[in-house]
Amino acid sequence: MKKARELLQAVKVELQAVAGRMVNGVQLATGAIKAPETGTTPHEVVLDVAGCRLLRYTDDTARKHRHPVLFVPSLVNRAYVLDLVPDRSVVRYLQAAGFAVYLLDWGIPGTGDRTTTLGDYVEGRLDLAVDRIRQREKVCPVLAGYCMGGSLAMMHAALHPEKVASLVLLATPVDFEEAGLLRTWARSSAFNLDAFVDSSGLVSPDVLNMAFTMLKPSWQARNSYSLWKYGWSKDFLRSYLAISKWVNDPVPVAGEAFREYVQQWFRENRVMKGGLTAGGRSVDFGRVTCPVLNVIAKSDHIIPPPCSLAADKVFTGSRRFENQVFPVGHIGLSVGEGSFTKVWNRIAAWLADVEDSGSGGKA
Amino acid sequence: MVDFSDMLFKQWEKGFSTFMDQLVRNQAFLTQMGKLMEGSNLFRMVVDRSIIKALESIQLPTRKDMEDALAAIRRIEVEQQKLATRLDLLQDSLTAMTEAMATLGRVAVDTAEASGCRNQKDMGDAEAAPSKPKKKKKG
Repeated sequence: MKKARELLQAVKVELQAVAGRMVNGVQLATGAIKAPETGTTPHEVVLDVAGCRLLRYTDDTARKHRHPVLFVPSLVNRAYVLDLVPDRSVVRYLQAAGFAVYLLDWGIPGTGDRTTTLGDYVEGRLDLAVDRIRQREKVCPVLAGYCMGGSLAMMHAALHPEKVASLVLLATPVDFEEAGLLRTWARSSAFNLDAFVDSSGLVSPDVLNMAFTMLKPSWQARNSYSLWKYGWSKDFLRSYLAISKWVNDPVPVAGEAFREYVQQWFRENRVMKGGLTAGGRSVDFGRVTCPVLNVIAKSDHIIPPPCSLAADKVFTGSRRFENQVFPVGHIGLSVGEGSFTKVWNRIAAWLADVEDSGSGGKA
Repeated sequence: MVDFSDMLFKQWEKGFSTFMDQLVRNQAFLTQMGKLMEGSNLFRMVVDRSIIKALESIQLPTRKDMEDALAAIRRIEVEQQKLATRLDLLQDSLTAMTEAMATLGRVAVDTAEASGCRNQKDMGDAEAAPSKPKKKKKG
């Protein structure tokens, strides 16, 4: 009798789910359900130069920490992943935790960016953004770099250690011997890097998207399966559509910056072996003295954890270095369900502790 | 309750991922992909070169010339903004320093005045009184 009741209950739940799927499916197909607006946290543009914008999130009501946080996103994705939708916004979370937040939006490279180098990004745009923040806030910012943005942030911290209060690296590659499939492809003799960059100028987002898809070929199928399985839930649909919008909205990469990154970082592993340069200047990570938090996503299929874990061998001069590993994926680190209660609460606590203990940078 | 759809999907995903992982690491596959990319790039390069030659022969700027010019303008734009921001930072430091100097000056005067008063009291002598600052003659 009890089993029969359980069975009936299960059938009822499944029927409700089927009905929900049908209704939502029709609404999705007819466009009645649209991808939610992204990047809606109120902000002002405090710098707009060479296609790159520095956003300052304006709500300061909860602010209690002196050092603002500057997010440095990757060059291969749109910056709004860090402010996706209101309930999945790293920006909003840190604001509520008492931090002033800035976001560097690299923009979309176009004509004229063919020859833009990593040095132009780091010594030009990023350094300008940091100076602008120092001028506005009268203190140095915390640099928080995500993925390739972490590479740019760590270069800046090495070139200008006096301008950075502390450094947070999110799923950032460091030891490229451990970079998995990306390393295999980058070093393959079949990949003629110079011919590829010289002919394309800007690296097409389609090529990059294809490469990322190939890293986890079942990802698309898993996505479709999840849509079928949980598509009855409006909440699921909303975040599904927002994440899909971001994933399918990649940007091209400046050819010279791409060449430098593949050659110096992936092929020659200069972060570990030394000899890295940016804008003609030698980059020595031993010069970074500020506190460094290295955040690693345990299930990261793009940057495998061993690739990031080596950071402690690089930041030998940091007065406080910490690796923190979380059971999330590469994208889940910023937009995953529960990433705020699992990951960002710990990052915010670390930042607060660094500031309270006085081990952060000077004004 | 056992979720059969989950079980089936996971089985398929495991098999598919293993197959694809072997494929994308396979040197023969990578060589073919490389050739494919190179082929499409080669075609584009040949077309680009012929257009460049044609434009150069009639002394018109090529696409590369335009891009280089635009890149140079962007670099100058960034440098100009950097200099402006640095000037602002210097101005701020200067203002802060001036304020600090003024505060220090006030503290020094107060201290001197206080110690001067004490000396006067201690010595009980008119000569111990600090001399009044001389007024500068105008003109």
